[in-house]
Amino acid sequence: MKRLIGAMVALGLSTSAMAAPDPTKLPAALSAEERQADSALPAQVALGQHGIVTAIDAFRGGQVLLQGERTNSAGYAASEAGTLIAMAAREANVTIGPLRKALDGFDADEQAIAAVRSGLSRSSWLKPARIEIAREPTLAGRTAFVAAGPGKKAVLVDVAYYLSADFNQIEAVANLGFARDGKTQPTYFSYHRLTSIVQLPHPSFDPRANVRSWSADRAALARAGLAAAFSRLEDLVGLATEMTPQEVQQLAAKDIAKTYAAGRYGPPVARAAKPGMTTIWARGLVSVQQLADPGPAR
Amino acid sequence: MQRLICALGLFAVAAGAPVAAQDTAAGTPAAAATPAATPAPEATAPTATAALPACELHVYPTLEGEAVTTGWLSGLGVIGALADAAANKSRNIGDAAYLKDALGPRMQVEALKSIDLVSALQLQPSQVIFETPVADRKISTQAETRLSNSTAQCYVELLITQNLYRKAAMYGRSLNNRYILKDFRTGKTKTTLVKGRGGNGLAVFPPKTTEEAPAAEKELSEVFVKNFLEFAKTTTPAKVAAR
Repeated sequence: MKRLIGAMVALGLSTSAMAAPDPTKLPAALSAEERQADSALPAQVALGQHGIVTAIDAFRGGQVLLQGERTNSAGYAASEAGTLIAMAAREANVTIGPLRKALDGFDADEQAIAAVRSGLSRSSWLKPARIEIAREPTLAGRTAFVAAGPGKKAVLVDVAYYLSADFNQIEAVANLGFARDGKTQPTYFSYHRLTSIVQLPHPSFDPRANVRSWSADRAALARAGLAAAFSRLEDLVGLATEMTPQEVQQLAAKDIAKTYAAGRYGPPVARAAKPGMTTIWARGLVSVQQLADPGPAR
Repeated sequence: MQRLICALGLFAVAAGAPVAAQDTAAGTPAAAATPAATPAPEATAPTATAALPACELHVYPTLEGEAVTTGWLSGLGVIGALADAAANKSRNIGDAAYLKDALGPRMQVEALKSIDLVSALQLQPSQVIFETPVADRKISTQAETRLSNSTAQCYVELLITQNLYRKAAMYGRSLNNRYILKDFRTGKTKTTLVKGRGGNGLAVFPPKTTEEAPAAEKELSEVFVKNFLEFAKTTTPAKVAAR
């Protein structure tokens, strides 16, 4: 079984290594000197999904994000781990179907991008020379974007939003990276994963029941949840640019008091405190809020 | 395909990643110190007018479902074990998937509601609150602080951290579970994680035909409860405190 678990983790990490750095290995905040040097870099905001997607549980390895109906399950099936993930993927895609249908016409993609753009504009020092939106991001396109930047550097922001594997919560994520040109792909020198989580008021252990709750009344809860998640993500992007390396170092200290929130565990972040929300440091800023109770469970 | 892998890669989340929502408001209280009759967790909000006990037992089911089948080859060293693993690959995949489905968090909660958890753990009268699972094992097996926002003075957590179906040529089929008990009744903000396990044999699970499925799932649930009671017998908070 250990082999299976190892394979699960390897799958997650190998795909991760291809395009995204390990956030624990890179500074989440720039030094004062770096801020001065990189304040006007161009930024690319990339969103590679069309409509809401879902994560699936990759067992002990964490979770893998599916790209909705575009997921090619057969691509995973070469290993035991792949077979299990492919099975979970097929089931998850069926489960989320009613919500995707109920959200038809609701342009969450644009809201996600707008939130990040707006968040970047909140920074006191980062004033991107231009912001490019990439709706079909590719590694080649990203590499070219960085290579064309002044000093062959750029700000790269990957955005995603999805339902958690148990469909209990909506998560909006922005990976805020500063990168320079590498040989085959951009090399990050700073990377900060920002996560805004909105929880369902009456979660169930049954994923389908959760999807029904999100989907009811033309997805009223999902629309409210997405709007709340993006609004907070906008805050977090602005906040992240203001954090200093010293602040991050303090939050990462081993002996600091930690709290649990929405699957994450880390110290509360005083700078990001906001009424009705819990904001912690768990390899990056994570903010958690719960949607207002709409009444009896549907 | 490259774009898909890229997109997956961008957001493939390693350990430490989110899966389950969790806070006190999301918890689902069951009847105090008595087996609850309502199966759906979202339908178990307290309606009784009687005052609820001040003590709280928060229960976290697991998302895990693992299966390991080994044959006689496993006794023949590394090569035998590798051959065994290859021979049982498909079986392990099917069994793990079945176990995750048949004994998922919802079924675990239903099974635990069928017994008096509070008495089994020798706790004073307590509200039993079923929480959503903690997906990240590093959190469930290492976090020494409370996992809920509850500030109750009298507070205990029970975590289920493993669901393992094992079939060994020599010992037959069994379900094995691991648990963690965290007792905060001493007023500490951090506590010791008391770990234990329970394991018992299975006769029907996994089912060979669809007709056997209900019996197999019933058995799974019963053995799951039996495993917990085995753990509780050896690892009650009272016994832990006495150590």
